[in-house]
Amino acid sequence: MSAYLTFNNISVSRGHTLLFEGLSLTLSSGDVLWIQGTNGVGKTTLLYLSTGLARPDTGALTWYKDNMPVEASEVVSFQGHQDALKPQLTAFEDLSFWADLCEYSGDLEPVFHQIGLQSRKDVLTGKLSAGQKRRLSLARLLISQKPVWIMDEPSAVMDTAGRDLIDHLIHEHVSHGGCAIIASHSPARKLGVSPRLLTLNAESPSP
Amino acid sequence: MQIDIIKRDLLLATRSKGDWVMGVIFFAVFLALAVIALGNDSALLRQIAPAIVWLAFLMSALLSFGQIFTQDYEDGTLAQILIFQQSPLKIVSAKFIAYIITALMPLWFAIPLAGLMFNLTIDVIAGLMLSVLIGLPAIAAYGIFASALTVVKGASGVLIVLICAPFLMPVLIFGISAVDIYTVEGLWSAPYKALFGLSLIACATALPAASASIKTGFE
Repeated sequence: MSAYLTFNNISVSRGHTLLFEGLSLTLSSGDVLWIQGTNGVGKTTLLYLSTGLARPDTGALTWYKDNMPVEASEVVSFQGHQDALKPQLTAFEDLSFWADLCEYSGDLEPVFHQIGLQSRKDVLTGKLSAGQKRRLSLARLLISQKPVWIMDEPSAVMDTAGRDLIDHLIHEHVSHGGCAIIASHSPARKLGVSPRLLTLNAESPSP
Repeated sequence: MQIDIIKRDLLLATRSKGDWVMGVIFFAVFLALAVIALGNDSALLRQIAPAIVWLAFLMSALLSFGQIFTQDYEDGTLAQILIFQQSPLKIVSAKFIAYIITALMPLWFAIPLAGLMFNLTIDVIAGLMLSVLIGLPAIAAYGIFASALTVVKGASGVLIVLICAPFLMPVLIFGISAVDIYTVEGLWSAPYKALFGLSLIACATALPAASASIKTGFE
């Protein structure tokens, strides 16, 4: 089991409010970390830390690839609550841009098939429904070919089939040696493996 | 990766239903109003034409500064690109080139139009186009800097004007004097060299500053 990401004694505060302190954990291949907590408790902040975009006040995060410390961008891909799609581009054009950006050389057709949007790939993303946009941003995780998936409320606007699709994709990803960090206020679901739970509380932050 | 961002921005510009034309229209309206306001004295108009055209160009550019990063920031694209490629300087340099092509070049091609309005000679139009072209990287770099500085902090567009104005002042001064001297000394005169230097300084300082402000803006 190789580690992808370690949190070492992380503390973060927002303004004068301490969000969490003394957080240490290790994510290895096959892990699913399910972060629970009420709104505003710091779930998204924790995800931003994991992507390397934000920095903790104290402590350090280290990302690993083949047991060597690397830049976060080498191992991490992110699905935020924003879909990061351009309404003027078609679904295919939009995904092609991200494929070019993360040097994905494969064919995009199977990816569209996988996310169930093969009939909508020539539609402008501005015309897609909220759930379809979410599926398209899921495709970005697939083509990124990064082992650590970081997902913010992935099933928020999804129908039942969409939720099953997410669960299936995460299960596939994890069973192929990846790992996932999921922030959600819905109760953790079993995704092939039992997720490790991290519950953030407003009063007493605990790992 | 820069080329991917530039290609996407060009595609977005062609799909934007003519947003990029707005700058050109503003430029033309500004010049037309200036001609009307200054009256019928064609000798006076010819004399101050370089200053008016430079002002019109800067004002039109200032209008578009606010848009450079706004959309990418608000829909989460900027964060995504940063996560994939943690080199903000690459993003900034790509946006720099894309901004010049989509926003400033259409304005630049509209300069001969100003020549018609002010009844300028070919020499003056050439001098004008060359001086704007040499000053263009400076205008774009400071625009990118101001845009990057304000967008992640959610600051207002008025701040962009305040940030840019002092940086663009020397560009304006040397730009205008370059046009005046073009008919006498040509392209190798001091104002053109100064303008070129200003552009180099702008690229060397404003672009790294813009990438630093984007990077820290997310922290």
